[in-house]
Amino acid sequence: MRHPNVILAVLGAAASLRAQQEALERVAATFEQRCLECHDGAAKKGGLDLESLASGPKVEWLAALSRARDQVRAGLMPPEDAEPLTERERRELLVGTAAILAHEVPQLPLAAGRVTVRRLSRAEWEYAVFDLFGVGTERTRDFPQDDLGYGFDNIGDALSFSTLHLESYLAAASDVASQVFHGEDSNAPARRQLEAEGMTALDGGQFGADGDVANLFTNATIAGDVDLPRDGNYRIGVLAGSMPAGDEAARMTISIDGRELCAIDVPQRELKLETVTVPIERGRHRIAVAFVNDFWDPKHEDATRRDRNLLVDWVAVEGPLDPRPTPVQQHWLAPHLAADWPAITRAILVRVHRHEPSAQQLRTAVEVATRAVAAGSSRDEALRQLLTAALVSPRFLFRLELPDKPAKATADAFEPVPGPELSVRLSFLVWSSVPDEQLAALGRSGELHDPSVLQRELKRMLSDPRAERLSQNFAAQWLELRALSVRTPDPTMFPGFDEALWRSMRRETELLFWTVLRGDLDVRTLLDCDFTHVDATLARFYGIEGEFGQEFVRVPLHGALQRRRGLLGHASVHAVTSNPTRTSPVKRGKWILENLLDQAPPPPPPGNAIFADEASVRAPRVLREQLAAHRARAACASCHERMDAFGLALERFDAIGRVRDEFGGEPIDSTATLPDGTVIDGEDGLRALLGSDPSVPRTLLRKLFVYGIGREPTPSERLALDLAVDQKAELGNVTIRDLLATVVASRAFTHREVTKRPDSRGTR
Amino acid sequence: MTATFQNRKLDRRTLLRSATAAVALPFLDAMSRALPERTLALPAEPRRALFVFLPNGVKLDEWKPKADGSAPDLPFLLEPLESVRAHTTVISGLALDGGRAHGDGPGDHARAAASFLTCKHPRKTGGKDLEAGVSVDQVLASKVGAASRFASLELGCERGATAGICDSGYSCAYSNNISWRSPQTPIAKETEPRAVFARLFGDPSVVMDRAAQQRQRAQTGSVLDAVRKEAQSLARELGARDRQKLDDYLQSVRELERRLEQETTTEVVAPDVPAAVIAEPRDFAQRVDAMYELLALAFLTDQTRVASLMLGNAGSNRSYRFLSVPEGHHDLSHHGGDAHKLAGVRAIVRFHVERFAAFAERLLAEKAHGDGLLSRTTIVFGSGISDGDRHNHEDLPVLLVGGHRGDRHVRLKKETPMANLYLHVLRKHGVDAASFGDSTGVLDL
Repeated sequence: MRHPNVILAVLGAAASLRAQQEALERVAATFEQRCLECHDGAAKKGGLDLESLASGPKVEWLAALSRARDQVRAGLMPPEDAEPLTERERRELLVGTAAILAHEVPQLPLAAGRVTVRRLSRAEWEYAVFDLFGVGTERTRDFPQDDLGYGFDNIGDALSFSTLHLESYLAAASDVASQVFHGEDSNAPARRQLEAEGMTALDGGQFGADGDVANLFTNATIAGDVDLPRDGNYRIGVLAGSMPAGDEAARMTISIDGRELCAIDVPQRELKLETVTVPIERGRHRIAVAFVNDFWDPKHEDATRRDRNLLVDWVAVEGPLDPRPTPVQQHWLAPHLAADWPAITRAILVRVHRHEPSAQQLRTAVEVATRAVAAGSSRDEALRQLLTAALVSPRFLFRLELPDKPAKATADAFEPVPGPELSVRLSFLVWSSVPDEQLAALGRSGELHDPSVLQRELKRMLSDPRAERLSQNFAAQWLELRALSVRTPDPTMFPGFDEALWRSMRRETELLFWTVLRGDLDVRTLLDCDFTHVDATLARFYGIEGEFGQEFVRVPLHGALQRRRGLLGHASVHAVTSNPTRTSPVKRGKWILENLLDQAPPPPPPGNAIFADEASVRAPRVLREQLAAHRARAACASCHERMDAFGLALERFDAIGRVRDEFGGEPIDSTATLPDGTVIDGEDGLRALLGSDPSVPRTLLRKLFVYGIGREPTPSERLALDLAVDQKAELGNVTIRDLLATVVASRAFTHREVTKRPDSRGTR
Repeated sequence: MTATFQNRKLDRRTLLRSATAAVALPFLDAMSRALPERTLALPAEPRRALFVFLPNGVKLDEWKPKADGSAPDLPFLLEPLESVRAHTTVISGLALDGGRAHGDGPGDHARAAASFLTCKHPRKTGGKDLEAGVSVDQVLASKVGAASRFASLELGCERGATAGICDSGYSCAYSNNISWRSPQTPIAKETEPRAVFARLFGDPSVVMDRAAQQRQRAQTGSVLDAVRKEAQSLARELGARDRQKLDDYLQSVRELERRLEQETTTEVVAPDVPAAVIAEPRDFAQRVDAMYELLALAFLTDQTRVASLMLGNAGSNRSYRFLSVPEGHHDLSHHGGDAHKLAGVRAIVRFHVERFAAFAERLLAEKAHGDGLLSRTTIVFGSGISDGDRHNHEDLPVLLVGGHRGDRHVRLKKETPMANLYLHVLRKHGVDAASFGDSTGVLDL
């Protein structure tokens, strides 16, 4: 043995394992003989020098050991041309290295790490406002796009704040405030009156003005616009009379946005109110009144009965007539509505700012309202301003984690996250939104610091419907489903890829994630399962027979539909990884490496274009040939060998995810060979391969960590996460709930770096 | 922040509304005559600056004039600039060293955008501890911005990525933004013409009388006052990095307060607007045109004097189907010499130069004060990558448009920093900076 001490020294450090010393020594011997043979400081095969790693920083050594273990477990090491391990050697190596990792990793110094204050992402803003008030606003579509860090839109440093943000937040907050404090009184509904002489004649028609009454002396339509605050019933009233002539009464029609509501006979000369009550949607509408049966008999003996005209004084829209329903989310507000300013202000701030306000904060907020009242505003208007200010405040817009007060003189580098902040971390992880009352109370009381309480709350929150936001917000980002909206497949080659279709595709995948989460299924179900969810649009696209509507329903997958099993059969995944004119095995392979195996390949070195002829590679056979030629280049092979193989195995799905078995009369080859010689046979082969890869649950855990903590795990945290998920996997199922529990239990989640209080100078 | 429609013979509201509903309307003559002269009066002949970013590089052999000096030939890609050639300087030889790897490996697209206006090498990070530099437009805005309602505008024709990793280990913040307020803070850009118009001139669908506007301003002022106090007291409690975020917030509050202040003394008058500008754009070409038109209007009405425009995000893979180029732009830019791909890149760049030239012509024709708005505007148009296939950051395609001294091709010494050009622009706008980014001197133009 050339390196008698290197391995033993490190393994031996596992002090409590002395009982297994003998076994460990055998493992060490195997390791030295079989691994160091090639991967020592002299040979460094594949650039791996285990020898110097063993004497370097422990975290790097353990990471290398963990990778080596994966390779042995997957049968990739020792390589084919070397003598294989005996079954006993292999088993001992796997058990031994697992024991070492289990012992050593928890002892690694763990960083809780600093998390930069996070501005709410657009989705979080929408969810939070909905959970607080049960309303939404279209203004959010003008929010600047949140930039992504590590593939997610909730990473503090990547979330910038500029004047444009503040303007958008102001507009949105004021819209929300006007919906909450709407000032409506159903006993005295708002009335909007259009004076007829000021209305517009449509289609080049004409009318005269008799004083302030419009005289429609010939068939004509007059119209005006009204803005209605919400959906509801409205009463349209017209004060009208006529100048009669002929046998019929003057006939008037009332219409809205060109749709006729009623025709009314107006026989009398004096003005009389005619009304019609109809449900109307919120927004701007055009109300029109038309005179439709003009009559003229210049020879009639009675000069007052020669000309039939319609007279209109005004048109009014009253409503909404039905009382405005108060969303259940606003029930917390009801008891405070009649309270004095400080009391209602406090009630609002506690909820909206997720924190008990200081006396100073309370004073500042109350002032907004009292100033408004002093300037002549109604109570509702003043409340609107108060709420607008609360929603634009940094205490709502940012997830602040203030230093504990008073700052403790402590030598510890870490401190527990204060209770209220911990409750906010948890609610944003699971619900993408603010805590509810129960969670907030546990945070305030500090009970949430008890790990069992924390886990119990997690469990409760996951059974709440709001947990589905993990699929809409987390999974849609993790799996890049959000990018479907900007995909532009060539419409002549891939007709029918419209918004309805890509939305259904996205929904199918979100529902798979949600089903696995809610049903506590093993995460590998994501890759292979015998069901999916479709609506009419997707059923038609997949060729599933039966009656389907707008709702998604679960359907079993058998027969030809088996190809749709799991993520790799979902059209969303195929569409999001394709070029506009063809599939891209490279992008599909990259998607798998990045999102399922956490092995993001580096981008290609410049000057190494893959294809000589873009137009011809639309044919899968040519594409495959050219990819092979490209892999022959040394600079490309190392990454593309695996990437291309994964993508080529999915070639029987076209660029928008339609199943195709041939192209231009040629059958499509969807077999591929990995560098180690493993042959993947189409999507089934890939499904099986990935299904047994321990990297998949590990990757999902890491992604949840990034999403929940707001930063990437450090190398020691990665090892700890891997260990947790591997141990779980050995016992049986790994569920998304398990992974979330691991994130929540991690020190990074419950603790934080002690921040020094800033010096007393403060800012400006 | 809502515009008034006053002193008008025609009801402006009706025009805008019918215009948005219908197809693009030409300017209505009667309407223009109804405009009182003073509405378009420019205060004190300000100078404007615009920085335009084109992603993915160009086809240099059809961009770079063969001749140096005055009256150069304009190759295919620059042909559209013929009509504004007197105001156009083609500059060759500039380099963006900050865009290079410097040991950080791949990520040239992200670096090209992040360094384009900052001339700094951005820190490689997927999200944590973002850092580039203050961009030249923001240096300018901090000096001259206070004179106009908006210190600067940041526009883009493409929304940012919504998923995934933008460029190998670089946060999307680097790929999606070119304007940086501080080294840690990129400025989000606006991509919806309708929203840009509403921000500049008020929402055309909302009409308020003067009293209602004043009331709204007072209310906004009161809200801002409260949140400023709150942010100030918060900032005292936070650690340094978090305080940076609060500073960004506070700066936004102050900027809005300044704008409100200005609005009480200066009336915002909404200009006539072609319907296409504020309708939802039907295709990308319409969106590009709309953004240019909005920039012209913003300059014309002196809403701002500094702006940046990203024609696409770094590494944009947009499909230009309306040019019969269905493939993605970035995929095409890795052309490997393929004629088909090069033709695609060529068509895309030509399209962008055409639209840009139309914009320059529009400014040139704007003669409210004699010799045209273009002569009082400085525009830098260029790409942070020279050839998309090589990802190189030297010999960049750059145009300097505006002013009087054009019609020339300036061939600089290789590796002349882009920052030297920016120093020149800063000087021209009265900002006497000693250095900027990696500048080695002022470009003598």
